[in-house]
Amino acid sequence: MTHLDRHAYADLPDSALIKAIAKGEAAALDSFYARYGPAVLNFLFARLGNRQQAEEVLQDVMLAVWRGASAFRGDSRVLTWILTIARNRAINAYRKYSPNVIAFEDELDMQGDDTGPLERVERLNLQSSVREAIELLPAHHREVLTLIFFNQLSGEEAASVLGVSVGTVKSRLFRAKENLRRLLQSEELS
Amino acid sequence: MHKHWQEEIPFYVAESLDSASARALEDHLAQCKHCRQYLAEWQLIAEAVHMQGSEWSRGLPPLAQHVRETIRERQEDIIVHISDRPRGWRLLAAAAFVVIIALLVFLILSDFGEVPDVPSTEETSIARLATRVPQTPLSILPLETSQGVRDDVGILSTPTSSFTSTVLPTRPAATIQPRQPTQSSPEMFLSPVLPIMPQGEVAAALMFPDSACTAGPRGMEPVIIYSTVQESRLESGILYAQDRLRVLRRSASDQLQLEAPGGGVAGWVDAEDVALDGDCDQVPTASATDVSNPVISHFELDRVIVQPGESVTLSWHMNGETAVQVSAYRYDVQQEQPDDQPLQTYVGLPAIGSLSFVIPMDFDGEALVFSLSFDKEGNDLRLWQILTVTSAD
Repeated sequence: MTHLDRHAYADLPDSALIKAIAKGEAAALDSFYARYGPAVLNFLFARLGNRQQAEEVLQDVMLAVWRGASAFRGDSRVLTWILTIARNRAINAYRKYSPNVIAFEDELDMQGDDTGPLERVERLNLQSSVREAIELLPAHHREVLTLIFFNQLSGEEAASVLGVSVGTVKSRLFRAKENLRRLLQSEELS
Repeated sequence: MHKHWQEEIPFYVAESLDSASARALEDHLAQCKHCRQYLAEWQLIAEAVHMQGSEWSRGLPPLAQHVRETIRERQEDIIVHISDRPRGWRLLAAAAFVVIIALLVFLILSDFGEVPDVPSTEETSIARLATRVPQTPLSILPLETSQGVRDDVGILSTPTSSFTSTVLPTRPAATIQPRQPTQSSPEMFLSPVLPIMPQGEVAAALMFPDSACTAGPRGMEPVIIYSTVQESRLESGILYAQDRLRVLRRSASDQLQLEAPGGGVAGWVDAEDVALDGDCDQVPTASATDVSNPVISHFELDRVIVQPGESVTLSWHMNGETAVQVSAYRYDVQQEQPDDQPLQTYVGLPAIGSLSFVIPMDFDGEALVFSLSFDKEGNDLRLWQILTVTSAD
């Protein structure tokens, strides 16, 4: 088995990197971690809402990559594959964690269907407000926003990661946006 | 209609829309003020998500010590061998492929001499299973075999843990018996648990105490049998109008687990789809199952390299699932791809268990890959283990 120089792994395409990991080349995992670790960490943070827990699950994900690289068959992008692993790992961790985030969505739903365009709050520091509001979203809304806008997955890829239909991805995006709208409105009112 | 365009706008903003759709959307945006407003809102959100993400993903921690240790462990024993045998053997052996003896055990297997035609297996992986997956203390329910009660093979059960209901805890014991080769039911999409192997080898199947309750379709419409109680489930077979299968237990969500013809678990049917016969009041009810978030917490071969004639034990532990599926595929080492179709699939296996295989002497493939999978809400969580088969010399 030929082991590459540590730095050479950084230039390998995804498929070759995965194969190297499958063959037990530790340096390949380091490169993989550097390449995908930030995206996975962000996704886990979005999903779990807790930095420490996200970092812990990230380690589990990397172990799963190390053990399961040979299972990657190339029928999806590596990013989609690893985010799917991450989500599966996060689900278990999330269950042990605060259920309050889910309850929050119910609260939002009870507020009715007030509508109002986002431009009403554009006078405020919009960017900051939106970011704060994102943190208050339910986990499944944060994660779909992350997958679409940060990870730039297609609807089909996001559906695959989340284990739902493309239609559900679209409706979650819509709901996430509506929730943001309400959160921003309530902030404006207060 | 706006709705169609509005659904595409987030993907347009994320630049993940294909170019043709993006161009069409741009044409529409040029003439739709409302959609432009919608676009502006999504751009704002996307920008915030991006900034948020950049912040959240900053400061990647180093790989943890336990990850490093695992990497070192595996590096010590993972060697990929490529068989140099003549290729001509392969087709012959593929046809003759036999993964002999599948024996379901749940804890320590130390002496299997009492059961004819079932080889002994090592306890290595089982011991590891117990130590690697810390749970509440496990108890073993003895098995009654044709040779008498065995206390070294049994059903795992804990009174409190989430997998209690996955291993038939309400049953005092199951019987394990060698089975003679028979034609498996043509109506089963996948083999029932621990089926007869090709080439007439003897396998073992779980047999359950007689149930006085049977189920069959209410009318002439066939009823689908599912491998698990989940909503999105793998189909494991069909129950036709004339079929009657014994009912093993009832789930909290009012599904019935049926015994496969000839032993083993056929899968689950919705109670409302079937008519019951016999004394069904005694059918045990599975305790409320914690099946919302299945996780494979352990899946491992006790060795990664074997020679024909040697045995290997695959063990697994899944939390939050009632049944799992194990498949064995021929694996092409050079292409690094498993075959599309499995050589053998076992469905309806309990959430904790192990299977032992003896690699046939005439198997000249390079490697096998085993998968453990289940289906839950469209998620097919799947792990693989590769077993390299080397020549005997």
